[in-house]
Amino acid sequence: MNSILKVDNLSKHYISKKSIFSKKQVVDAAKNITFEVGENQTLGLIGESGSGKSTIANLVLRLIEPSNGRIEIFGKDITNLKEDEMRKHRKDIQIIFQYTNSVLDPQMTVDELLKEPLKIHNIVKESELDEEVERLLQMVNLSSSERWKFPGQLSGGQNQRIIIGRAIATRAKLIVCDEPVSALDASVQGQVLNLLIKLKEELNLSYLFISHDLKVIRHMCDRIAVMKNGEIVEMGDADAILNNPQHEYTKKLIESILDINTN
Amino acid sequence: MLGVDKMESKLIEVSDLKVSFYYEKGSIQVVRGFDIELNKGEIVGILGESGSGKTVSSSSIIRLIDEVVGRIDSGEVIFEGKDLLKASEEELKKIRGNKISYIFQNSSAALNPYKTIGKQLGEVLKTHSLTNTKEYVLDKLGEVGIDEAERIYNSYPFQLSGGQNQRIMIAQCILCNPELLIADEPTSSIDASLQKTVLDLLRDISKKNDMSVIIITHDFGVAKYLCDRLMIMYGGLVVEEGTIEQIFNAPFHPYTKELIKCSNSLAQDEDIMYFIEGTPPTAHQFKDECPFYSRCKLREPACTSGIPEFRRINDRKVRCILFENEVSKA
Repeated sequence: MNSILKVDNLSKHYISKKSIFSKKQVVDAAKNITFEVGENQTLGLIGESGSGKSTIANLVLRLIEPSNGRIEIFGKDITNLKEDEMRKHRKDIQIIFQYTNSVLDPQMTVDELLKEPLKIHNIVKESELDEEVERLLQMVNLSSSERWKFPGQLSGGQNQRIIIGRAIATRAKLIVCDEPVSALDASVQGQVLNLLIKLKEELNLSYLFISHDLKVIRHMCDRIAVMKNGEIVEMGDADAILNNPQHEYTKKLIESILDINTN
Repeated sequence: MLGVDKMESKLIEVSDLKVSFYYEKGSIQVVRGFDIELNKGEIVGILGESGSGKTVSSSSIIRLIDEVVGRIDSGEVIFEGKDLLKASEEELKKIRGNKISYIFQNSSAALNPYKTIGKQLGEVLKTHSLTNTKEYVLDKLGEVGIDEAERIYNSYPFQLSGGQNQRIMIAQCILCNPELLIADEPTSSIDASLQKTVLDLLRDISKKNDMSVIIITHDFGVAKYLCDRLMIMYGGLVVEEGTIEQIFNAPFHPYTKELIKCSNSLAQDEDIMYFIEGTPPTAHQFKDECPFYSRCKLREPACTSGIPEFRRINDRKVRCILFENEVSKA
């Protein structure tokens, strides 16, 4: 299996000082993280807030600099690439953030929002832009009539599908999904999850999937890494971890889930 | 006699509440019909999607709607024999935080970043002219499960975790031993692993102090875990009300049915997730018809002639014309 993303012994620490007289304290946001995401695979990251899930997402995207370790994408080391070199690789890794009203520029139409990544990364010729926008709309199950609307005229679920459309516009092979459905209404969450699975198959995508909802994780992921205090405490096959957790923390996390079919 | 007992245990009764917000071109009604009754010690959930009117209707109970942005059009909020919608600002000040408390959705933002926890909790007691002693505050911090109460007392909100701030918010709300606590998504900003603990805490306090709780949530799991009774909101209206068993085992309203199907689909890990086609109406799209009409699989032409009435069927209520016929048959 081809490796899409390989993270080796990756760490990120911050130095904090309580006051100018106190000793420096090292806070480990991520500590000796090692994992791999294969082609067409989804790796789920779970853990309480502050456990380092988003730190890892930011490190992988090189939005923050690692203190130690190595990040490889398609076998190429990107850990120390300079910003202008890194920019060439940005189209290969995209991110879908948790949906809020501030993710999309409210003054841009859907048409402009979808054309933006296409232009920045020179994905298609100028003359083919319109055709490409229509194709993307179709891929994320939106009708052509939404093309001239602004984000404010669309629902949360529709906007999240535009965000997904922007992510796949650059022909990315790896998409980091940071809580992609947790802000969406229960009646439309399923629609977005179905879309993410459909695109994974059609475009042979790999996902690094962050969510606090274990039901969503179970549905989406092949493998799971459980994080606590910046470290991975347990990693393995999704079903194995959810049905037979080994680490105490994982057990606690799974027990705490409010399932409407139980209790 | 039973009837008398029931009357005495009723804490608050809200009927036909309607709330509008102003915008450039006039005003628009966002809550079109909100009814809720609470007995002492009862925990009632308000469940609905974003924009369904959960927060606006519950904050209107203690008139937290800013006069500049909106107004309460009509309705009654009877609390201790008095209509809160007709009460003076002075009277309301004595009730807010004292007899009826409100936990806001984003707890970390609701606490004052410039004041220590001890100081801001003390201020609540001072405002309501209650004895403000450090022992009492430490005691309340202990009650919400704060371990190092002494250290926390002297800390600022930013030095604490989200879970701790949420507990402090709860401590602040129960300082005056209120009769009613309104909690707006109390677990949505905290971690999944802490969710159950916070809900357990709310239930314990409710039991111990005979405190009633209105909890606003969009999460079926939360509602089922904590509540005795549930109100389902859609398009600015309460569309169904019943006990947890009634709602989950035998939902009446087509929207409730569909929503439970979505939730079960995820819980049972079906290959293709179930979802409701279309999107909920925004306030600008509200029409004089059943709010669920455009997405409903059981719709009939008659559904568009006016908003259905909120009808009582035995011990539960539903807003759907399918049940109007059933009642008349019976």
